[in-house]
Amino acid sequence: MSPGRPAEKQMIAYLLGELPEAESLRLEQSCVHDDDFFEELLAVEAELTDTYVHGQLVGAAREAFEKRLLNSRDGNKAIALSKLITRRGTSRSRAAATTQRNESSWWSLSWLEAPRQFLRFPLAAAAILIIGISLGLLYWKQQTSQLHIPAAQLPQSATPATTPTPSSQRPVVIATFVISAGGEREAGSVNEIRVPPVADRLRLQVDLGNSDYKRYRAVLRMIDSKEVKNLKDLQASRSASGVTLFIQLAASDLPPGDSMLTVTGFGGQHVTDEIVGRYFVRRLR
Amino acid sequence: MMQEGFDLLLAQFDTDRNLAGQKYESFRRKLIKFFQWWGSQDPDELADEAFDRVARKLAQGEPIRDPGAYLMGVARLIFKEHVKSQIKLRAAVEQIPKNPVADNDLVIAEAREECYANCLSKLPVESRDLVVRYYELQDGDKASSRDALSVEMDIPIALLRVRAFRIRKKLGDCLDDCVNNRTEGL
Repeated sequence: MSPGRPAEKQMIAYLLGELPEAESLRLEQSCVHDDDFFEELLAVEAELTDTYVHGQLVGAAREAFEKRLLNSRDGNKAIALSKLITRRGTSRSRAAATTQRNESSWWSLSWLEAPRQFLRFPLAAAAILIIGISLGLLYWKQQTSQLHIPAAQLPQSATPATTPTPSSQRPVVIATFVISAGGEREAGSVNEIRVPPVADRLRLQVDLGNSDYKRYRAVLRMIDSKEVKNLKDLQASRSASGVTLFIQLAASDLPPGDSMLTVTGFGGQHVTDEIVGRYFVRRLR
Repeated sequence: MMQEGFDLLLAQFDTDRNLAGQKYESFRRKLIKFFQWWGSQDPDELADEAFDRVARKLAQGEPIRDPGAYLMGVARLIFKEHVKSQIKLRAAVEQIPKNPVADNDLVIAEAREECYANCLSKLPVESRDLVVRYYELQDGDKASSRDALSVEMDIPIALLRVRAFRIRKKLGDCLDDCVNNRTEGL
């Protein structure tokens, strides 16, 4: 928020307690007699909250904001709304989705929009990459010669904990998918995954950027809100390239269709829990 | 508040009782906000106290020319008294441990996310587009993009700001209701 206009500048100074008392009194009297002026002051306060939320309020102004505006009954609510309303991409994709349809459910609407979103974010689409299945899959492949997934896509961490078994059984096959698109800033991108029929388990490798929470919670829900998986107290792996969360579930847990993975962080330096990413996942048939 | 004082107060706002009631509500909202901005933790209570005092003055026969200005004066006085009483309490309050992070916070955060999407989808298309374009974080200069939007919509920037804010307010109210409903009983 750039306080360019005189009235706006004055309003910001008032809200931060930086306006001389005489001017403050005048401004308050204007508010009492002029509803439009008062409403504009409320609007400026909301924008100031956005500025604060995005770390663009510094020094004394930040302190004043926290003391005067944040420390109020509705402060937390205002912060929460600000985070949601200013979030890049999310609102637009949801709005666009709902613009196209008249259904009341956002969940279904978002997903009706999904193919367009997919085209809109080619990089995100490219990121939906099956990077590997387990060595057990290769083992099974050797036995059956039916699968053609290159071994180079297999991550080390997907090594199956299995041993050759009687002919009536086979090793546990884990299919790993990188969920690198989505998250707060780019929510709306679709992670399409095609699970090989032989896969027993799914391993979702979620890129959390520079997130620094101590623990995470991951909730996977179908679009009808049916909970597929709720994993608490997860620890992320940290490396030079960033923070990654690994989520494992049985392949049968995730039915074909659209779902939403919500990752929430808590602990560490943070006082409050916060949703660090929402990822759209579509399991293809 | 005594009925007689309240009636006199309403009469100060307007001779039409319905309009007077609306003005009373409008003043009350403003007073609550001012108390919040001044730093009060009990803005509703202090606003009601301001109305009570003005009503008592009226009942005592004190003439008041400009009820709005008078109310503001009383409100400032009440806030000063409030600050004094708070200073006495401060030492005790500072000894109260801060709330630990509750498990419920997580549930509320998730409910808020889903409620927000729901509330956004309930807005008329034009409102939704406006609020998204006005507030959503963009690369580059936000002020410039808002100026461009104001030119595109052919309305002054101040009016655009207020229009966007009204939608934001609706969205916020919807969000509060929805989150309260979903987390009731937690």
